[in-house]
Amino acid sequence: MNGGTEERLRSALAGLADTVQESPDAYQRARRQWRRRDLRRRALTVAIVLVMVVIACGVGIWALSGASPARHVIFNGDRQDSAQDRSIYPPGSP
Amino acid sequence: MNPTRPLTRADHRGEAEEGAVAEHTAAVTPDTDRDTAVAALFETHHAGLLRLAVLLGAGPDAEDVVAEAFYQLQRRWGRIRDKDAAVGYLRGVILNLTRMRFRHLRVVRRHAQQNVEFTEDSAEQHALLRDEHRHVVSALRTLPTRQHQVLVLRYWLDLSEAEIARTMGISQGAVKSHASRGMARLSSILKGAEA
Repeated sequence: MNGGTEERLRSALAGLADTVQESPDAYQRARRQWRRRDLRRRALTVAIVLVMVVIACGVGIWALSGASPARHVIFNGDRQDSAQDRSIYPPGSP
Repeated sequence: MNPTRPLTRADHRGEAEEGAVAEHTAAVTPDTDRDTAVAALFETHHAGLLRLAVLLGAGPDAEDVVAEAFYQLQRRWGRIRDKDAAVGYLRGVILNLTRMRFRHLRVVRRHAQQNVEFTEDSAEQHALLRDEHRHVVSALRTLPTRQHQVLVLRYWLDLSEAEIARTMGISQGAVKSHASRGMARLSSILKGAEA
């Protein structure tokens, strides 16, 4: 039943394929397109990284600006009364 | 260069240049190899793949679809283990892209306020096709995408069921099923058109 249809299909596909014309500068155009896309991809990556760095810096600055200057959490030791000491003798003072 | 002759400044400059060239070559070799291989594949297979895209219904986007397939190949070149399978990979990408295009067009049609006509073939192709071929191609385009793709791969590229299954990422049983259903439906459409 399908023998005739198969032949007609083959013939039609071959006929349609024969109508396709390849442009002579296809490779050059494709290369230009690939380069543009590569550049766009790289620019997007750089922009995302920059945005992330800016956000991280902003969060860090916001956290530091909200902290009390009297509290020093670095080199506070293990002493119970270190909080009072730190407020009196901040690090760096003689 | 004579090995017994003492080295002059020019020789040193020559060596430095050679060294720089060698260094440059070593630095660009992987990219150059990839570009050369992709260029060779493009040269050999572009026309065939363009025809495949048109037969699958990519229409005016066929060039873009094929260029996109080569771009994907270039980006994933390092991850492709078997370089001989690159053509199969390209075919697979083209099948997926044309399927995505159909899906996109279907959505556009559904949301279009006006009855916009989307032509699959250019006017030139339409004029060049014989009436008989035009009927068959129109009937083929009414089939579901998978059946359409299986019939093109089987009757135009003459791929085996195993190759079609590998290219489309489906089982051989599914390929058989799509092929027989597609062919039966195509026959009935053509008979209906003739009656």
